[in-house]
Amino acid sequence: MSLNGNNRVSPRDPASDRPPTVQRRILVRLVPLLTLLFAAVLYWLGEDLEKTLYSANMEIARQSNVMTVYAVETSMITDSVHQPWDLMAQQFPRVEGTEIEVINAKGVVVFSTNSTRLGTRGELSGPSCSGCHEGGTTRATTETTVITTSEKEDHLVFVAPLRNTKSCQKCHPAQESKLGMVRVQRALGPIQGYIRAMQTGVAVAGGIALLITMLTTQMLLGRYLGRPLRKLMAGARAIGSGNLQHTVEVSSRGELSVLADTLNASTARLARLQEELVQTERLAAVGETVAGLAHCLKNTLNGLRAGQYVVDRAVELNDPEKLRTGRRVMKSAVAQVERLTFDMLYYIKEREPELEPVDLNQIVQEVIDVLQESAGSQKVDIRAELDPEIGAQALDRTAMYRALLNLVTNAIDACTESESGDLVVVRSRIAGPDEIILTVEDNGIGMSSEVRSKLFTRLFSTKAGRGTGLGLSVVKKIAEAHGGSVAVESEPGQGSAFHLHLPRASA
Amino acid sequence: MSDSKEILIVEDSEDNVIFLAQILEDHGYRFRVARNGKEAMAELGERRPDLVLLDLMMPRKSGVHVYNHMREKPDLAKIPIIIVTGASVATGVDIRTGEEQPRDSYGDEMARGLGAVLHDALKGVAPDALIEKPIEPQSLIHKVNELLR
Repeated sequence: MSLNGNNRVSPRDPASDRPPTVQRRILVRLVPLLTLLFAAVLYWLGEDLEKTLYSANMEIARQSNVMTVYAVETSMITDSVHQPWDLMAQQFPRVEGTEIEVINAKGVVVFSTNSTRLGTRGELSGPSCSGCHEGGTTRATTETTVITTSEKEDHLVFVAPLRNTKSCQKCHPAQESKLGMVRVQRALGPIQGYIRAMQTGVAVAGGIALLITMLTTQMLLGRYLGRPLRKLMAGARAIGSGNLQHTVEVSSRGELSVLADTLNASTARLARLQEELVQTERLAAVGETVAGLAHCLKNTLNGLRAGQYVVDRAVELNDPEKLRTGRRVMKSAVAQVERLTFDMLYYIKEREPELEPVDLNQIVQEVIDVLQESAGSQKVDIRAELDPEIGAQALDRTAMYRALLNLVTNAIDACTESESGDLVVVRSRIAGPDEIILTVEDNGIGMSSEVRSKLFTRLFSTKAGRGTGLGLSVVKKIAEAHGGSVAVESEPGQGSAFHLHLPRASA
Repeated sequence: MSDSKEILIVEDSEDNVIFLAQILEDHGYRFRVARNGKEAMAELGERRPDLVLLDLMMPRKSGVHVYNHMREKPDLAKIPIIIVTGASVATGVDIRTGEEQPRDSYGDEMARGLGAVLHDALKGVAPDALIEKPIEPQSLIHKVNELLR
């Protein structure tokens, strides 16, 4: 028996030699998810950046405003009204997206970095002014205001009043508290676009960086973990399917090579144990066979010794009657050796039956003739009920004779072992166009189901010294060699019937 | 000295009966023959023998049955019994002591086959002597003489 039996692994296609790994699962499911998540986080961080930039813009607008107020005041004082404005006009347009205007108390634009607006007058009730100038009044409700409009472009508008300070009152009447205002407008559109582009860029670049990192990790894992693991798995599969000579070679160091070494050591141990087991089983089988034969021979030897002893005494006593008795005992022992020898040879030999046209009924009759005398001495009657239609069949004559001899001998023994067994019937009949059944039936001791289940087991015998334990195994083998089979019916105390099913071939 | 002693041979094999009978006859013993357990009981009931040569595996009540019957009956319990058997290896029970033997690998298989029927029954069977087949006439007669001395 080998260990292979239970561990057979169904063959797989080579592609599946790649392990259905955690690696691949990570790659397929986790990597896209992580990449998207990382990008989203980066984008969200970008939102914060926008707020910071907004604050910075606000500061620029406020500074511009303060500077402008200061410039206006200074130019007023020095009476060189146009000089700083010209300077501002030269400087401010360079600050991209920034528009600075000075508006007098009448609402007229007296300075603007956008020259087209010079001299124009804003509607106080218009959308950009009405927030402070409620109902179009010239008086504003607030001092400093930030307005953001978002109709077309997002603008940040910073508005601050030009106060009528003491230095102003040299020229301006003191009762006017405000002389006008400074308006600084920053276009946020381009900046927002820039921020969006930057946000997207960072997110995409970050995502790609993460993806590359993960792919690299995966590749490295595949190289340093996946390949040795695949080798280990292939090794385990080979060992599982019974190849105990397989060794796993893993070049990497660390846990995997320890695992491979352990696997190799276990396999070697398994191979050793298997060999020992096979050896033990072989020895046990040899032991069983030898013990069985020795047991049978011991009984045969007893018969020979009995015969020899009686013959010796007969010669000494010059007693011809005793001599005949001794000779009969010896003959019976010789017959037993003969039977054992044939059974052994037939049991061991793998031979094709030598088929020739044989009259099956005639073989039955020969067997009955041979056994009739000893059966009679044990008060057992043998009857034949033969179908004359059977005729010649293609059979191995010697083998069929032996099979029948064994079956009828068993039937006689079954009768002598019971209280009332006295009849053996051998029947031949045509069971169909393709089948002949030979039945050997007795009304002897019968069999328990336990005995019945062991009937065709090698060396099983209930007959102490008389049985070889091979007889029925030989019958079965002969039947099967002819393409037939043996069936048995039996109940304890009810006798037994052995049916020899043989293929029918019209010769 | 021994011509008055009578021995009961309980044996189903004709050849073995001839053998045992010849040995006993040669040494001046008288004998009766029972072909199976049932006959043995009848013979024992009829007349008390001085010794019993008992085969174990026989049809119609085994040797174990006869053994137990004899040991249970007060008038038969003292009769020496020599078991004559070829099945000692097979049963897995030491017939000298009636104890179960440690079985080796083939003994197990044999016990399942040849000796299965006897295995359980043999526990507790401890005859006065055991003769294993093939029978050695000298050793048999030696034991018989010893037990009948």
